Amino acid sequence: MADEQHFGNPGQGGDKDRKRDRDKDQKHDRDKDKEQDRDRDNVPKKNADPDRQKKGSRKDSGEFTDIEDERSIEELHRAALEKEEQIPEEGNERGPWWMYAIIIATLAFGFFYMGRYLGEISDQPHVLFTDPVPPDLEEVELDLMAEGRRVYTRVCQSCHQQDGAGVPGAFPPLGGSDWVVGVPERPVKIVLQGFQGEIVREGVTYNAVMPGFGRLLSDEEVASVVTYIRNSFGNEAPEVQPEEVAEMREATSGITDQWTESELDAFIDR
Amino acid sequence: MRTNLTKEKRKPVDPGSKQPNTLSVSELDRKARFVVMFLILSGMFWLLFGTLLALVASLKMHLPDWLGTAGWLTFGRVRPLHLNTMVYGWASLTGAGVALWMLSRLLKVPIMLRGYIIIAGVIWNIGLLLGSIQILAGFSRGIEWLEFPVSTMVAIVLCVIIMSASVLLMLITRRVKQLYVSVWYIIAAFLWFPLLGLVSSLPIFDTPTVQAGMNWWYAHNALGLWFTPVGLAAAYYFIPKVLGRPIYSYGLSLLGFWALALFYNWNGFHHLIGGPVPTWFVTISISASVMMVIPVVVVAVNHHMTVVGSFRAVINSPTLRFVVFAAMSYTFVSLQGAAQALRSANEVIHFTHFVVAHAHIGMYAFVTMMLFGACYYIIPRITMREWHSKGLIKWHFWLTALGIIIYTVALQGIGVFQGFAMIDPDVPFTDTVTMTIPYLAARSVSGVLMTAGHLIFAWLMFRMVYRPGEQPASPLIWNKIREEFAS
Repeated sequence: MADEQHFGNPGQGGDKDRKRDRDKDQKHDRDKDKEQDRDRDNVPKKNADPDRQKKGSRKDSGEFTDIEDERSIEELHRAALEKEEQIPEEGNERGPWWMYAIIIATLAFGFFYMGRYLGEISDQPHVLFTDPVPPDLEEVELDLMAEGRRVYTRVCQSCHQQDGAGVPGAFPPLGGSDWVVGVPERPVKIVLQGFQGEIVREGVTYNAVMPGFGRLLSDEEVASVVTYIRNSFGNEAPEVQPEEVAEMREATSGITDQWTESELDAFIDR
Repeated sequence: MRTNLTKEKRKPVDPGSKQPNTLSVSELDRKARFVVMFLILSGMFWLLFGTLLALVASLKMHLPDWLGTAGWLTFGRVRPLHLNTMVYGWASLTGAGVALWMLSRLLKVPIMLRGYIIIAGVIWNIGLLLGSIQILAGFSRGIEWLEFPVSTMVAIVLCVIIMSASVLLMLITRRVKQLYVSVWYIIAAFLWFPLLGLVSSLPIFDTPTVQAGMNWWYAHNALGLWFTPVGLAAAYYFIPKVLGRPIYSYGLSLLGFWALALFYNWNGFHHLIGGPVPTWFVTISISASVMMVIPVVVVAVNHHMTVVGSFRAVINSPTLRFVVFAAMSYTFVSLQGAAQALRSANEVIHFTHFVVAHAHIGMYAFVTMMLFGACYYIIPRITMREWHSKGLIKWHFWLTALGIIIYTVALQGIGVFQGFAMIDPDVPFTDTVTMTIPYLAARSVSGVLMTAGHLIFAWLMFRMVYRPGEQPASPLIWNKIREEFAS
């Protein structure tokens, strides 16, 4: 069909194409009136524009250069537009059986899922996905040594070593240290605020900065780890309770710098 | 040449219509010309701007030091702005233009309130510009999909309300008896989106969990109740229009529409799986997400059965090529979405690149490709001009299609492995990051492909509007069509 040449899209196709389509696809039978309407609409337009036929034949022969007709692109588009087909009325097929199977399966799964995992209607998150919280928690006895070992492994061990022997020249040993097993204030304060400056122990000079862990560790953790070092590596000394640590933390709350040996002595003596 | 147009005033002809006072399609298109072109061209500007931001953000993922010294070029500002300009600039503006044009054609009335829509469009663009500056300056709202300041959102919503008024006026004064399926979707979209935008801008979501709930209710519905209806309306319009074949089943169209309307609104909270929101809330949302399989399968069957047997036309028609690619992507992304909403799947892919790719299949492979296809059909008709080069349209298609496919394969592939690595306590977190780097680079490559496609689209649009240099002597034909149909 020559008049199809101006059209960018397929299926605006000529009557022949449409008819062929229709014949092939008997499922989409349209009512007779509509067909007649379309035929009637198409006939006068085709006759009204004989140029189109001419152009079409020229194109078929492969000649593009010698365009004599005056028609602009605008006009071609306008012609195309006006014979543009309405969207054909929808068919009313029922769809394949498996589509219904999918619909039913989806509904079934959706409602099953809702019933299974709805839990209670409350503002609680993670209902059914976490163990329920027992209404009254039992007070668990704080095992200072076990907790202290965990904290020591996590925080202290990288410098003071697993056996508490430290590193000569840098990190002093904890085993056999009179500071560790002496009054609890010293080790607790060093853990809370850290330590700096030179100290000499058994003829070896140590000089490194230990940061304070007061912001990192809770009272329970400080008490545990001090208790642990006071009773490991051959040491033996009384336990330190979290309450004591809380008091000392309160008493030193204004101190931000690390302790030095002299400061520590002065503070303890006072 | 042009004088022919005015000299020869044609009587309105409208095949198939029983009403004598109906305007011809060319008359409708002439009236739609300025407003639709304005919306599409503004959208295209934001597409290019958003593409640039996307490239920068993508490169930063594997070149973290690049452009890292200036605050306004950091990832935390570029990436949200990319999302917002694409969503509210490109897809919303162009989508509105396409929807208004389709509605004018389908209801056989000119677009109403055209002057007001132009004013709204100008305000919309200014709002986007100011919002963009504020995001780059660091004044983001900090809520995903809602990073624009509330002022910009309110401006955009008011502009959409003006368009909604136009849409409802067109509906009231329509010159057709039956409403085609595309009309339902478009009307619904123009009613839903203002509601979403206004509710999300209310200053009542002030506790973190409630705000998170609103956030994902809004973000998921913006995709599902604004872009999806417009995209599906375009598919329902262009597939039968271009093929000249009827939509397979009216009943399935009905089922697909109402199932979408019923189920989509509940979906958003599946983004909060594992979060501190009530369990029943999330469970209902997951159920609704699974139920989305129903409208998706129904719509897919309806489209597929319409196209089946005419796949040659899909290859030959520029519009149909984009539209069918987009429709297939819609099916794919929606079924994937239903699956990944399940808790067991979600615990793997949540917080991985899988989800990023999923969002891009939705907004790019579906919505954006659909809009490209629509533009290739609409613009020659409203401008009365022809695309400059069919070769370039093919390049546009293949660059963007290949781009998004590479994007999907790379990020979803590594996303699954990344997810399994992240839930394995023995794998250090750094390893879950470094393992994705080659795939992030692949994403940048795909981004370059898509950018090239967008530049081609922009060039074609530029030729269309300004027509420099030589013009095609006649409208372009996608050859072979006739032969295929004749044989």
